[in-house]
Amino acid sequence: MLIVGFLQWWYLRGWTDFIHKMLSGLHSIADNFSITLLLKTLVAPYKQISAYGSGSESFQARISDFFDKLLSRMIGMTLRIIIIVVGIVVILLDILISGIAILLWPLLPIMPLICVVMAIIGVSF
Amino acid sequence: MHQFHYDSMRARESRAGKVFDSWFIRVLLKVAIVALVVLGGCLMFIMHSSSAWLLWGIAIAMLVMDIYITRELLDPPLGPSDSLDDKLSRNVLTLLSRNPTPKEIAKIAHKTNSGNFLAVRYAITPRFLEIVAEGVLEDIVPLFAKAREVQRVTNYESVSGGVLAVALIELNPNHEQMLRTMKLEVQDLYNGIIWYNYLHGLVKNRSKPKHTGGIARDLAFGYTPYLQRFGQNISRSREGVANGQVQLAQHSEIVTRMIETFSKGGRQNVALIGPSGCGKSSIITAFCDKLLDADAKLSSQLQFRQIFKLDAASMIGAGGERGKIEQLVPTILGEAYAAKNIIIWLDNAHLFFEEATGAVDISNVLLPIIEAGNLRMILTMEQQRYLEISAKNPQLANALNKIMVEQSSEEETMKVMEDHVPRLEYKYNVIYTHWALVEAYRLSERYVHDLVMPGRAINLLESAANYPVQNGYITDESVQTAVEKVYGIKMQATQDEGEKTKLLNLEELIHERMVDQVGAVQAVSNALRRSAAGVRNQNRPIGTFLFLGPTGVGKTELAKALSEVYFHGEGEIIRLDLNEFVDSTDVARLIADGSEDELSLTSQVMKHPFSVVLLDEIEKAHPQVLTTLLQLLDEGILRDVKNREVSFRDAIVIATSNAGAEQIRQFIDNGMDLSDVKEELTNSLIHSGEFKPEFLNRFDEICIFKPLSKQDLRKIVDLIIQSVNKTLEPQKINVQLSDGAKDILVEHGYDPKLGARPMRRIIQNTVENLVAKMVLAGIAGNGATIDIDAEMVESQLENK
Repeated sequence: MLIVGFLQWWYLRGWTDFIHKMLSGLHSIADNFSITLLLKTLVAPYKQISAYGSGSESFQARISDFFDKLLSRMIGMTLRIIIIVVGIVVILLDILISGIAILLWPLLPIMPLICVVMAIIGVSF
Repeated sequence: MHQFHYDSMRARESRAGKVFDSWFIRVLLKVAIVALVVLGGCLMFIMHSSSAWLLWGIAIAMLVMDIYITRELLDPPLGPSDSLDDKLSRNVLTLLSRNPTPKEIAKIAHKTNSGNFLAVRYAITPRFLEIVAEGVLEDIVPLFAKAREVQRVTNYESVSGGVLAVALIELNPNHEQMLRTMKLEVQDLYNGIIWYNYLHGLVKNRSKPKHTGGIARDLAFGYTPYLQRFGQNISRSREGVANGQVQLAQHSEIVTRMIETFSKGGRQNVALIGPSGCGKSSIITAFCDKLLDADAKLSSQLQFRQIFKLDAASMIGAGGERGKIEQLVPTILGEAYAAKNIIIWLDNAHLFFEEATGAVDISNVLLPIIEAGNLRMILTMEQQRYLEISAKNPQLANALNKIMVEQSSEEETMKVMEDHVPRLEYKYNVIYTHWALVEAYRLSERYVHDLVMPGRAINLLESAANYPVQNGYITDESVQTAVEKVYGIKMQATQDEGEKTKLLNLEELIHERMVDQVGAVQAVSNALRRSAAGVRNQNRPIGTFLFLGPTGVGKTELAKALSEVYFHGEGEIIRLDLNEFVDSTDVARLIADGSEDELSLTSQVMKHPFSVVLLDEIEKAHPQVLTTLLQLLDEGILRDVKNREVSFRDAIVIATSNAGAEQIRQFIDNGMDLSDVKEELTNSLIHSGEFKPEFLNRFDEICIFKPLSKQDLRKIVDLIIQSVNKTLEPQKINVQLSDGAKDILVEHGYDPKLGARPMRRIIQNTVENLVAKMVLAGIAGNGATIDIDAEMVESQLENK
């Protein structure tokens, strides 16, 4: 009876719960890297350095503000692109690992049997 | 439908899970898995043996078992159907026998988390449940049916031990009576289930991941060094906290309004106006949590914005002079604006708009910023402060988006307290019972004046943590002790033997200080005894008395004696001479705020609720003043100028009056008994217009003080000499009067119109002067006994 319960759980709710857990993990990683947010603010000045400007009305000051802001934006964009790339790699890796784990899940209960067969056949490295 | 099947899948799984419900077994299992994998690896890659597959096979089998145990057996979810088997909690399933009975339920309920919760907080102990089960039929089906009903009513997810316990109690026909002896009602137990359910939800929420924006969240926002220095980042302090603060309906509505205000154009400010303790800070915390929640689907203009609280005191401390603060504030606010993700919270905002200690008026700096609306700001302040600022600076008041915050209802306050209990228990290492919460609400409403609900109840609840009863439990007794210690009020029906003896002999004790007036002494003594025994009306003062009689007969003396004997000494007498309240405008002085007039009646009683309130010469007060006192006498409540209810329900109110003194004297001269003429005297006072009937009717008792006779005066001489000896006690000098000396003093000191008043003066001029001369002349030294005879008194009187 308990075996039936185990099999029911493993191939139905256990599996779906596992998939949900993997997706939740993926969601957390995506939230940590916040790629959407990074893309939305890709060219925003990094930490708003110089975003406020000097407040001076002179042409020279305006030019200086413009280049300061440009530099700040460049720094911000570079940093964001690095984080986006790292984030995408981590997310892809997570998808890959989760995908494999999800696919392996149904095989897990029969793996011991496969191992016994492998031992009988005498497979070794 | 309400049948329990011992062999159902969930029941079997639960029982199987119980076997593995040990961290030791689970750790052992995991260690074994790792060891087998490593051993297999060694066999395979070092010894090239295919036996490694067997070890790996066993390891995988154990891994599968571990997953099954951890994810299913230890916490089998509720089944999909509405059957009892699918709704019984795992704990209950592991404990039920094949054929459970109500008696068995009584024994096992406390072994479940929810059952134990009821046992600890509501004293629904196994013993109590066993007694309850005695009166319930043996059939289990009605119990399960009732449990399903309780589960549905309380909106609880499963039929837990707590739910079964409540159902069992309800099935007992005498349950109402049984609960009443424990000061409980069935609804309290239902609330207990809901409370447990709420806390259980909090624990579950804790394990859920919180999405708060990640590492990129703040990259696009500026540095805020000044804000970090002078402000407090509320958002940062909330990041690590699990969601789940209780949300009152009013607060949720206000948070929604705040989101709406900050999401659309217009003035980007919100002013939360409400009394202290109503939950303004909690609203901001809830708003802060909402902004940090990535799943809340807020607009990008508002999501992940951080709230910085600015504290006037620290800014004044750092800025020093006013000029420097005027420079500092624009710098801080400019930084907040440039950072683009800051919402400034000015707590106690009035401190930024007025000149006072700990406050600085920088409205000239703040007003343009608030009016421009570019920087988001939240201001919190009390209503009275807001009104003051509005009167002074209407432009500022017009620029604010006001949201009024009201105090919470009793039901809401209980919910907020239930929410706070785990934090308080963690902080003070105590356990709160249900009665502690009920008592905290009841007593805080009466004695805590500076805050409103729910703040006042939480305040008292926290104070009670310092007075646990045995085993660290905080009960209603702990709350009463907290009130006793903080406010000096005798709360509990007296248990102390010394106190009981004092109460039983109160008349004798009072008569050690004053002479005769037996009726009045008895009346006040009875009132105090009723109060101490807990049989008085709790919604009125302990006693309200009108003392009528000529001057110098002991009216004020009785109040003083009472205060000394029972109310912690003469200092606890709050005395108001109502001949100073002869104008209608004097009402304002009567109910003035303590900060403006510390001697106002309301502010004194607020500080010392357990006192004798003596209203001297009440007949001289303006009628408006007497009208103001009506509610005090009737309900034990007087509203002060700030509309705060000040409780007089732990005070004994004594009003004295000389009105009718002449009539009393005539009654006595005619040989009439004063108890027989009380009504006549009262009617005469009403007819003469000295008192209105509605005023006189408000008193519990009108006590008539008779004029003093010469015999009484002789006793008073003894009392005064006793007091003289008490004064001389440090020098160990004892004064003794001969009978002749007393006779002379009585002869000279007797004045039927002035009572005992002249006697004190005469003793001062004779006895005290004599003693002073003898002490200075060295005739009477330390330890001496001074005998004063008639001649000595005579000579003193002649010299005078």
